[in-house]
Amino acid sequence: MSAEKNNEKMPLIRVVDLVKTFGEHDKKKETVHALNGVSMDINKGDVVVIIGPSGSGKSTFLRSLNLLETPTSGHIYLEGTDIMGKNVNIDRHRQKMGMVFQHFNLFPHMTVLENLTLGPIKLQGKTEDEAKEQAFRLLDQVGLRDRADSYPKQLSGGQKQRIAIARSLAMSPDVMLFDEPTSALDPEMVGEVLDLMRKLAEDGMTMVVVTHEMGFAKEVASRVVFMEDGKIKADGTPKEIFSPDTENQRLRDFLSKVLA
Amino acid sequence: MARQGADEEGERLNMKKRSSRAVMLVCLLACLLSLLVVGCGSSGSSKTIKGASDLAGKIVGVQEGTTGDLDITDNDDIKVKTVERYNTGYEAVQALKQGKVDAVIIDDQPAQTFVNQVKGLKILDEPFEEEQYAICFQKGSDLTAGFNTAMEELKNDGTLDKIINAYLDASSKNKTLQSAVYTSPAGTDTSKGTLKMATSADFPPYEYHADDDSILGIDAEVAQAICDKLGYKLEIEDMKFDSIITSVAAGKDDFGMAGMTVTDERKESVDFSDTYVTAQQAIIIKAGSSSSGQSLAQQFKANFIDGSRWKLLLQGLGTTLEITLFAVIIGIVLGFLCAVVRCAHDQTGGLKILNFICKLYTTVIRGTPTLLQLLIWYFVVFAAVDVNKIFVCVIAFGLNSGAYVCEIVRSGIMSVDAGQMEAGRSLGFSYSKTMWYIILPQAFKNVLPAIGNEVITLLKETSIAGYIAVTDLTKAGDIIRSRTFSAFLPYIAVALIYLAMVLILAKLLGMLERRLRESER
Repeated sequence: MSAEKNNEKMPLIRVVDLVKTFGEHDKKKETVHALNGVSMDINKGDVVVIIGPSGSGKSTFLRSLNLLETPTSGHIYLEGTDIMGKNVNIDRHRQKMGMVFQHFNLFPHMTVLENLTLGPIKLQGKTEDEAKEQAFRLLDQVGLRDRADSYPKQLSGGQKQRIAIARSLAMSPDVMLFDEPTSALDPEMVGEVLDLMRKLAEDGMTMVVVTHEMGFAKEVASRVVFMEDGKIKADGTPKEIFSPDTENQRLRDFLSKVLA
Repeated sequence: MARQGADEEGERLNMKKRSSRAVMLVCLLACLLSLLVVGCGSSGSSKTIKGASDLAGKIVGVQEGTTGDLDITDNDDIKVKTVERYNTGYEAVQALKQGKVDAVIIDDQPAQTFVNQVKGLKILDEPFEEEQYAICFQKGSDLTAGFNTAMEELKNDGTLDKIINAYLDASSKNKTLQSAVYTSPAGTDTSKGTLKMATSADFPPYEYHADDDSILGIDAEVAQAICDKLGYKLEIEDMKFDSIITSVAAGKDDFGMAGMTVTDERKESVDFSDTYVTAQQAIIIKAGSSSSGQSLAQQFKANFIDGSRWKLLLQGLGTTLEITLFAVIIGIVLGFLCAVVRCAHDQTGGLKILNFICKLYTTVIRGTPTLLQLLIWYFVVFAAVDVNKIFVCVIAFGLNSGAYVCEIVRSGIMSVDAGQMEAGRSLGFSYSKTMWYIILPQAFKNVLPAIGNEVITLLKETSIAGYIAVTDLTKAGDIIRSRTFSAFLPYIAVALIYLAMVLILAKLLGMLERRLRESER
């Protein structure tokens, strides 16, 4: 483990030759390669948007970054530490990687405020007052200070997702992972969530976003990654990826479908 | 505004519920009453019984495990139709009165008492058999010799005859003694410790519950006299007759004394003292029509007011609540632990050994009857230990309940959305912390109705505590019945108390549920 600790050269996240297969133990089913050797560097301040057809492995890749999905082989270095190593306390590393889910996954038995303060109090040893003060700051940031005492069921989808983002931010993460954050929202609520994500990006937060929102990718991303069949097929600036005369036939097909 | 509307709606629903509950209650009482009336039917056999030989082809009632039972069962000379075995002599006599059996074979003295107390019965002049009563001890016990010597002295100084005659005299006058005939001499030495006597206090005049709840009778007093002579303190334990030999043989009690006849079969399990009484097995039959002729008010007074018998119910209620409360606590704690272990194994693959233990535990507990578990705890696990019986009940019922709670909570945990675990883990909570702060609170809310149901079941299931001679509510009703010779009021009273407790419990659980649900509106 110590051999991997050379922070200077390392990016914030380095992914090396990540493979994830499903169903290899089940002889009746065919083995599925969800990830087929994915390597990627993510630097501090990057806003990486991952696009691709469904089943391309983009969600699996994102969920592998904080080991919600256990990769079959490969390495993931977070600030120089291989978090797939045996003696790594994954819970400590997950605190540095906030995650926002498609279905929000707010804790329904707690108020908004409790959702935001649970982690800081129980995991970071903050006092209740410190945690509350921080929570209200974040609620101001996402524009929902007046809902502090509401329960998740009383919120709209867009509000829930903004609270979920605030909950992740409460842990002061180094990077935020977004797994299709607007896919479960009614169309009129997508805007408020994307606006918040745009603000975060402007503030310099490192973000990895899996989304179908091509507009967001074009405007906000510093890098766009196109995945298909568990592999990275294209990786570049939005300008390069969305250029009408890209040579990549697969990318062109995909874009023609989603942008139509 | 919408909230207020909902409240009104709830109020209406509540009213409806209340009135439907009242209807249910009335229906229940009607059912109980009709059962009682039906129970009074007659088996209708034609030929009258004049002696032992007439028992052939008849239905004969006995007290299970008594000499009467042993003598009539597999009797080659008299082929009876069936032998009905009851837990107490009283039940056998009651069955005779209701026409469920044609005759009852029981020891002569209790027969005398029963016939005096229950009208419409008579004892045949010709006894069924003669027999000798003795005291039983654990095999090889060194108490046997001392008891024989002491008994010899009591025979010689007339104490034995004095006790026996006083009781027989009272029962021939249709009376039950309410205070002891024998008094310990002043300054009696009890330095050698305590001796525990197993008996079955439903066998007057040998042993029975007096109005003040103490156990009186020939056996109780003779035992006291012997213990005084030997320098021991006497403690009497009431249990079912067929448990006495088991209990003495296992060493849970020091000796057994319950109008017990010496038989070869019993000699294989226990040692016997010299006999102290010669008695007869008598045959009781019905004698014409009968009616107790007591008004309900009189019956109420006899069952609950006389001898402050209501206090017995109150004590029984206390015991039932005590057992239930602690068993519920053990059950819920154990159930949650077990459920978490099993879910952790399913979700992470770890905790293999603990998971195996939990699986074994739930399988065994759910696969065997609760009563059997209780008997095993008392007579097998704690056989050699002098242990508080209420404690045994708490352990047995608590462990029993835990297995069911485990399955309930497991289903509750599995019903929590998988995204909750992912959200918790992604924030950096460990598996166990996510479980504790995020999954279990939601699971608990989900399973509260099912757990409430389990608590209600447990409350009623504790009614089998009487099998190990714990005076719980049901047993208290039983004791009152054995003293007043009427079943109706004591049992209905006990049933109503259970019903009231369950209604209160259901109400409390409903309130808790509503409070927990408020957050999710």
